[in-house]
Amino acid sequence: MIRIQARGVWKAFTSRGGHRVEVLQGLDLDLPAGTFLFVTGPSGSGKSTLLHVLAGLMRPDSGEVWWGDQRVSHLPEARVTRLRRRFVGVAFQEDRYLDRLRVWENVSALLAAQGISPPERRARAVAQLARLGLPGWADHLPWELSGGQRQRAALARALVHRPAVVFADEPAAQVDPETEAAIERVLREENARGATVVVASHEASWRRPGDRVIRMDVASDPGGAGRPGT
Amino acid sequence: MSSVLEIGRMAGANLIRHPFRTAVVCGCLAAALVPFLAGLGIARGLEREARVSLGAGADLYVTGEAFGRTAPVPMEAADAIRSVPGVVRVVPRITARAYVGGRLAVVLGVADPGAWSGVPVQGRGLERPGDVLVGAELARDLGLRPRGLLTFPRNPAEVFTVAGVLAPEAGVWSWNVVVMAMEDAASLFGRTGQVTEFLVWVRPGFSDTAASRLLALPGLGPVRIQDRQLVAALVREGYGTAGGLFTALFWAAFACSLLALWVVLGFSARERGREISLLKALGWHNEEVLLLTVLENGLAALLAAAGSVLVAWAWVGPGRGVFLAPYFVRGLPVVPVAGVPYRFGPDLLLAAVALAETITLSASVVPTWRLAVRPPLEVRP
Repeated sequence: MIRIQARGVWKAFTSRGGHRVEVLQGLDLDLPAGTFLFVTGPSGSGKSTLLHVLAGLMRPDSGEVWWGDQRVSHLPEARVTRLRRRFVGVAFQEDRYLDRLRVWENVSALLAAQGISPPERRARAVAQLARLGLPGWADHLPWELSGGQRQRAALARALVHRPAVVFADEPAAQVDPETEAAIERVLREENARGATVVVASHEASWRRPGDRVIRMDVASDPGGAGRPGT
Repeated sequence: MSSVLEIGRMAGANLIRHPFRTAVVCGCLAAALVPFLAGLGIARGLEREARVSLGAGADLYVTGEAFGRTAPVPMEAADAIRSVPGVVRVVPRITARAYVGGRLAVVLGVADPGAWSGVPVQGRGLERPGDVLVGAELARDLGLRPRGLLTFPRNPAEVFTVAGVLAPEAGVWSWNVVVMAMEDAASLFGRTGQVTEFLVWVRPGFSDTAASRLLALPGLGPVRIQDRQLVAALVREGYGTAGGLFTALFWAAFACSLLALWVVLGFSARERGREISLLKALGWHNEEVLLLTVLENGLAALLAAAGSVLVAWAWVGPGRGVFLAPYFVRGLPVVPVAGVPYRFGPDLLLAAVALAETITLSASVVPTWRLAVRPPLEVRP
């Protein structure tokens, strides 16, 4: 289990029209191992960007991101990929699947690179899918699943290698209350085994005592975006 | 090792789940490989046939020389050659080219027409003066049949009788030949009492000394002597693919296919970039992403190479090397009368795989590596 830290992180995007948006402005964050963090805020406030920067999927323009004693924001990409496999699981908000591979093959794609045999990969993928209420969908193709099912499958993929840190971007969008409860239960189980869980969501509706919440603001004016509100 | 195996499995699955991309890549590779393999197959088949003939042929080939070119030698020189120590047999022969029916044919004047009875032929052998045996290709083109008549424009007064038509199976060398008695050939070319070459057989180990003695033989005049090794080297050179129109066409096809492959891979770069981004976000290492691409393209190359060998074989085997054979055998038409000799071995398959791998990897490794070393969400194909 590892501690995640962000120190003075800045991240900006420039649109095709040349408009520059400062999404993260000097963000500081300290997440001890086992933290359950909600990143909330309206659309466009930078929740996903924060997750991506913390997960090492993109580099900050300035500032530092630490995983334990590793300053990943300044490590070579090859080194970051090794640490990411060891520590991080990411469930994306948008559909990101390998087309025409079955759901269990998508869920267990990382395990293939680890040299795990197909039967074992399938078993582990099915186990994760079952936790999220999708036991019968392992052999389907991703596009045969509904939006909510695909989100759950994405979460199963993020958990299949039992990461130390789970990043889930809008994991319960477009799902019914029952499914949302199942997703929350699984994330709580991961947290209970010691994993740090970072959930980006519009609202921290599952918040429990001890959870942390940061609220992001839309970049309507310079300095207003990407600052934790609470 | 097991991770390589599993990544290899995934590479195979990628080929299946992108059938269009796989088909276009294999098609581009085949466009380069098939003419290459078919051409090499024919070249090797012809070379083997020539070597077989050479193995059964003479030890020395003696021709006259005048002003640096080959020239006839007097027939009487045969006795002088026979007198050289080590020589066991001397056979005179006339070989020349002559137009017949608008086609340039090889005329072969043989000293012992009866010896041709063993050659597969439709009709009969050379039994009477004025008889000729005609190659299958020539007979087909000129509509010649046994008992038909034949004249050469260079000497229309001499009328020959087609005694028989050589079967195509006699060998590709025979397709465009007119065989006649040596006296008839000498008369046709106005070289009575002369031959174009002597075929000389010598005792084992006497080849060099006999050649030296022949060069200094009084009364023979200036001669050119080729031994079996030299002729073998010429055969190897002659059937190589290092020069000529075939090579030019092959490199043109190679360049086009490489260009097409780059275009295809360029079009699929966005999709490829999306996949690489996802795999890396899931935890794949840079070198694993690269290995996946290498194995995927390697499998595609293997598939294309194996398919190309099959297509090339079908082209030169059942397809008789249509459109291709004339580049290797002068005078052959676009559609040969029978199958041309060819030879495919494991080395050709290996060469095909190596070439295909070179093409695909050159088109994919660098772009993949450039994508793989970027953070996953900063990949912009």
